[in-house]
Amino acid sequence: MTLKSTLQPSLRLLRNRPIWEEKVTSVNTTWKSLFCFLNISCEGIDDLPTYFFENVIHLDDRDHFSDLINAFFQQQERFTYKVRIKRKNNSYALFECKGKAELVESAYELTLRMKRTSTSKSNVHDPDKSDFFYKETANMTQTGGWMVDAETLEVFWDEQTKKIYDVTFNYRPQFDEVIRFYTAEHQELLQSAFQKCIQEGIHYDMELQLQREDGETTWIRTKGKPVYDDDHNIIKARGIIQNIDRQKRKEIKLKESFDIILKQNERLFNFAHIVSHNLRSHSGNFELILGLLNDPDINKTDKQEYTENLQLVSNSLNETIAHLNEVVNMHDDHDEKVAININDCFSTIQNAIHQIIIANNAKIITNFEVTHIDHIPAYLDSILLNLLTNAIKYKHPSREPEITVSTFKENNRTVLTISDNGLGIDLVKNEHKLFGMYKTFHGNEDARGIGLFMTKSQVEALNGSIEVTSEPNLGSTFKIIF
Amino acid sequence: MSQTKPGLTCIIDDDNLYLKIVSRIIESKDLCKEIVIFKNGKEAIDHFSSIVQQPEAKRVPDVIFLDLNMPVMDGWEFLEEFLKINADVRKRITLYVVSSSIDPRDINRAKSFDTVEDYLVKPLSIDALKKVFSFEDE
Repeated sequence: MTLKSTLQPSLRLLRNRPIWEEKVTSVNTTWKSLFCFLNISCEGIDDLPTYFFENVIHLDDRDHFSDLINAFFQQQERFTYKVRIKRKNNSYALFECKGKAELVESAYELTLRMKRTSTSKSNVHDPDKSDFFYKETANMTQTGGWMVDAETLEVFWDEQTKKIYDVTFNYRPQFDEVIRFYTAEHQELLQSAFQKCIQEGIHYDMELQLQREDGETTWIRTKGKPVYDDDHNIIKARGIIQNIDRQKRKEIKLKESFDIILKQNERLFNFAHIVSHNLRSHSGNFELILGLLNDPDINKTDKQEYTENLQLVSNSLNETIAHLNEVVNMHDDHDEKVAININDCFSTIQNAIHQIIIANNAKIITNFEVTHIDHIPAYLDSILLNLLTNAIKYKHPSREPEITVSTFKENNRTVLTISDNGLGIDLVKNEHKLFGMYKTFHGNEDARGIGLFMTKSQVEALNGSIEVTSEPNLGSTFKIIF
Repeated sequence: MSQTKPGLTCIIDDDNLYLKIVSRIIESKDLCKEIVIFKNGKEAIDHFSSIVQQPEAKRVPDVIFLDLNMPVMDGWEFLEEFLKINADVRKRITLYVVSSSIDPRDINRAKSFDTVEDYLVKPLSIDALKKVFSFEDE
């Protein structure tokens, strides 16, 4: 077969349709024919394949195409591949290259075909592949897309968005219903952000909570942006929604433990301060008295008196150390928690301070909506006893004490409140000192300044918290969240 | 001793034993003419507010020893209140903060008040008391 005879039909074809097709008889002639089709002169080129791969084909397509061609010539492996070929003006044109291998009488007959194509290079941009990446990314990050038409208010949700909203894939979202997927407190937030987005073009990025019908909530992050037409009118709002429930809950938990640690740290710091301060004041008194005792001019009566004073200092030092022991022995062993019947517990306490209640003519009203509290019995006794005696001790001089003790549920947690009509506390001045150690407020002789400090520690030991609201001359309410 | 003995000394502290011993020292060493005691800042400030109204400054103390940690009104609150009425007093009052606290924050905070002459750490020694009184009116 001469080169001429094989080339003639191809060249003719080239003029009409940009296709070259040739049965491979020898590798060398095939290359020559291909060069001719591509309108590249073979003159002075010894090694056509090398020249082709080094100078004609686009660098990015070279290696893969070279492998395909070799496999085709040597192992008769068929292929289809799009390559970029350099043209005279140094630009690249896209060609589809096909290698066919047909078994004819127990031997392979190879045909190469090259066709100019204008479609995009789809072996680079594979729609199946990009769809795969999109889906996997959406799945892994649990992120979906949404869109709302500014005019019709038609809502589009993709599959992942529907998953996040926990609806079936054939669910058709209605604009007015979307907001109802959110918790009551977040509905307004989203609504106003969305309105601003679709009307004024303001972007939003918020962390909100979805609420299912059974009450279960899910944290999501949602972003919204406007879409403009050529005249800069907002025609759509679109954005993404991501399920961030796991991360958000971890974040909240971390924040909570951080706050607890911060509080405990503060307590330790104050504790160290108090220990140093109080022990110092006793040692100071010892030193003063000893200084007086060492005075050579001291008379007998003075000596007697100073010695008695030493005994007094020693007593108060012992008392301080007893308080410190109480604090040091405080532990947060959750294993000792038991379900305590609040009614029984409170009755025991009332009996214990029966005399005080009678003496002050105190009226005590109980309203226990929650009947059991999980706590360490000794702590709960101590907490109730302290708050109850405080309520009576700091009664208002012009009225008889009336104390209401209640338990109820609030935000899934058990709450206990003790309200009185007593002296009240000026919280503006004293809030920061109220639960401090050795802080007293009313100048009562029997106030030790340890009660509320212990109460707070006992509440916090089991991750609870205590708050107070009070109005001077009207009364106080202590609220414990277990 | 050439200095005049201060007339009235005021001690504001809630520690009974401390009050007893310090008064005893001041009396026995004859460091001043008279001592008046308040158990917390509120009692003291109420007293001062009432006497500054009077024209004679007779009952206005020459020296004040002020504790920090007290019930009802602590030393800090007293200092704030005292600033308000001090301007009305024509007599010079020397105020010492006396506390068991050795926390530098307490010391610096006390010294930041112009009205505070010095910060004395408890226990007050007899020598320290003598020093306070002997330099008075110099």
